[in-house]
Amino acid sequence: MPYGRNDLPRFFFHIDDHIHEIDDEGQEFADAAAARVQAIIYAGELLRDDPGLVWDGQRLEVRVTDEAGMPVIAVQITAVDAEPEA
Amino acid sequence: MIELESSLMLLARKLSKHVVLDPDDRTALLDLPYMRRTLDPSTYLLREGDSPQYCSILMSGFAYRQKLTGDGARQIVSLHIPGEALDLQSLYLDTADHNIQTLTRAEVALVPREAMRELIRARPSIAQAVMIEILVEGSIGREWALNIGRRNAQTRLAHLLCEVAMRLDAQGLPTDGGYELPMTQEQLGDALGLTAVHVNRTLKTLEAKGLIVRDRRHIGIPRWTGLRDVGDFTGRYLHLGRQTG
Repeated sequence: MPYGRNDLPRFFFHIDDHIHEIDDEGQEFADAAAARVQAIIYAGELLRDDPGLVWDGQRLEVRVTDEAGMPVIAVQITAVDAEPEA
Repeated sequence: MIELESSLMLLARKLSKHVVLDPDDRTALLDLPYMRRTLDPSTYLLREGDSPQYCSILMSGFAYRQKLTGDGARQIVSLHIPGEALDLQSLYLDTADHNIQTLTRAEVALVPREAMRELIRARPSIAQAVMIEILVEGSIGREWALNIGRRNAQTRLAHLLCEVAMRLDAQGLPTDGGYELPMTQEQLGDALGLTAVHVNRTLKTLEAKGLIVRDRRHIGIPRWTGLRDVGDFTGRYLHLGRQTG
């Protein structure tokens, strides 16, 4: 796709892990389906940068909302450790 | 035609940073035939599979090289600033293996491929400078592979911002504690192998740390050493300065 498309819907990508980060700027995507895919890849990028985000029972959540503030997708990632051996 | 002269002067200046060019070398370089073109943003200068006819030299504006995967995902593989020749490898390779596009409105000088090759055959110092330029491009490509393959997003972005600053500065273009980076967040993402969403967040993080100041596309760098450290950046791979060879 060429760069520089105009008048596309805007989506907001919030992060919830041990901190809450509200995205008040947002980014344009062709449609909600494109924003969903980006949210999943974005969550993967955050994990790659910092695998510790899901250690010790912590959860990473990337939550996307549309211009009306309605939810579009929530990507939730947790890691489950094996039970320690008795 | 003074502007045209000063434009090939940019290339002469760049090449003479690598090796000593004597007055005859400079004259021969400035006497190269060329056509001048003003191009809109996103204009293709070369497409993968093409047979290059010209060696294009960027006189003003920014350009980039990109490659596409089979299903159309784009990777920007290099950025180019004024004074740089855009496809020196095409002097000797018959088929383009990547695409070259303008990033901004740009002026280019198109030097016929054969004229450039003839100059290189005739002038050993220019040949050496062109060889060094091609080697430095390869070195920058290796650094980009390391950057994209093994550094986290913050370091990756800081590294790119440092590289552009140092290259502009070395080319004698005004940086003044910052520069205009004419890239969208999507394009930065394509250069860094990141989603535009992550680029956006990472820019905000660097700004919150006081390492950059953003004003539209202008990137201010208030603390060079801070950005350099976060970006794991040294300029060694740029091989600035004269190579004694």
